[in-house]
Amino acid sequence: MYVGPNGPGTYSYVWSNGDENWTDYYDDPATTADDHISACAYIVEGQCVGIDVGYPVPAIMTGGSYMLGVDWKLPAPSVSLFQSHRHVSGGLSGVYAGSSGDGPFAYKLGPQYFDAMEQNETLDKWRFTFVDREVDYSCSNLTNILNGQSNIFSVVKFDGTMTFIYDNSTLTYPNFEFEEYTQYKYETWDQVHLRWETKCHVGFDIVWDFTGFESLEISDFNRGDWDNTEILFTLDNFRLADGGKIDIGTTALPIAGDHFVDFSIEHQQVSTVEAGFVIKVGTLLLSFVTFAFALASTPYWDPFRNAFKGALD
Amino acid sequence: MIEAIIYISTLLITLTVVGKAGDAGYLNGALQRGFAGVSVQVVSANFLISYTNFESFIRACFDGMIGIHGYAFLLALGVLLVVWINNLYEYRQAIV
Repeated sequence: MYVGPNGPGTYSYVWSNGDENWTDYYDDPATTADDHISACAYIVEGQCVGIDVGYPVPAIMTGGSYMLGVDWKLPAPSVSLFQSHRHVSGGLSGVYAGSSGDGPFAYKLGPQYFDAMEQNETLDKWRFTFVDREVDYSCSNLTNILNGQSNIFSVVKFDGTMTFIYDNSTLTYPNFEFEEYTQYKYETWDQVHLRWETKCHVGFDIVWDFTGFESLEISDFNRGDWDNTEILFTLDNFRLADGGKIDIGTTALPIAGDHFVDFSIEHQQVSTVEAGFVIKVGTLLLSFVTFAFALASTPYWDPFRNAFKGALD
Repeated sequence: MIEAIIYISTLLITLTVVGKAGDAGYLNGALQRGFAGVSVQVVSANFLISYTNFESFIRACFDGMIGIHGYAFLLALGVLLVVWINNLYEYRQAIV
């Protein structure tokens, strides 16, 4: 991931943060220092619209606090995204409303996030990892160490939409469906007992797996120019895997809380030349075979009878 | 549209299979033929849709993702379906 002169969030935005306006809750009349943050308690299309500050306030990914680095808890270099659902100053500093709306949760990422993508290659699959790394949980008994809560983790389903933006055009894939266990497990070194210990956070990773045809379409769309490609992805319609309705306020999700969520991207790419050759030549061969099958389905040509004519006669 | 093509294709295959079985002296009862026909179609259609990329492949051809090669395949598939439907009308089985 590339760190630009103004941080990784320069051209990247939280596009939607749950679609519920909590501005009044977070707006502290005693101070104006947090106006920008409380405004960002409600984000619409990448703009903090909670209060009228007289000019657009872009909801940049990190909320003004650029943090980027190799966090060994995540599989790849990550960025901390500020979730803007908490008081940051005044007498209520740190207080969280307990909800962020039901969705959608959407993010717009600039080309800095695809620095590892090679130019002229196309995308096979992406894995996005979201981890709320600020609170540890025991993995064994699913008990929140701090609050004594139990069964903090759950299996959730949700829908995803991925839109590529290039040269003022868009290409959208709307039909992703994810089923994820919200437990993110990692190994940590216990310096007291001098042993490795397994710990858990609330988090999940989602894999955007594109078919070979879609990979070719993406390649045609952005010509492999990842230095000038943006994406807008949306996660919405969260529900429990057993079919039950989800309560975002009580179901722990890494993206629907307060403070920060760590986010990293891994990718698997494919050569457009190789993929294109295999698919197009394969399709052409399949066309010939289908034509031959159609002809063989008529009484005018029976390849099996002709092939075994001597044996049959 | 895409699923309709798959269902038409599997229906034609089903009619051929049941017809051939009938000609060979099997599936003499209407109930047997109906049960066998529905079974063959459900299994084959689900196989194509769920366990293969056939649906996404046809969709990619329609959407132009594979270029002229995809359209050539659609043309071939169309010819095949027309031949099968004609055979069904003329000979009471799709493949003769």
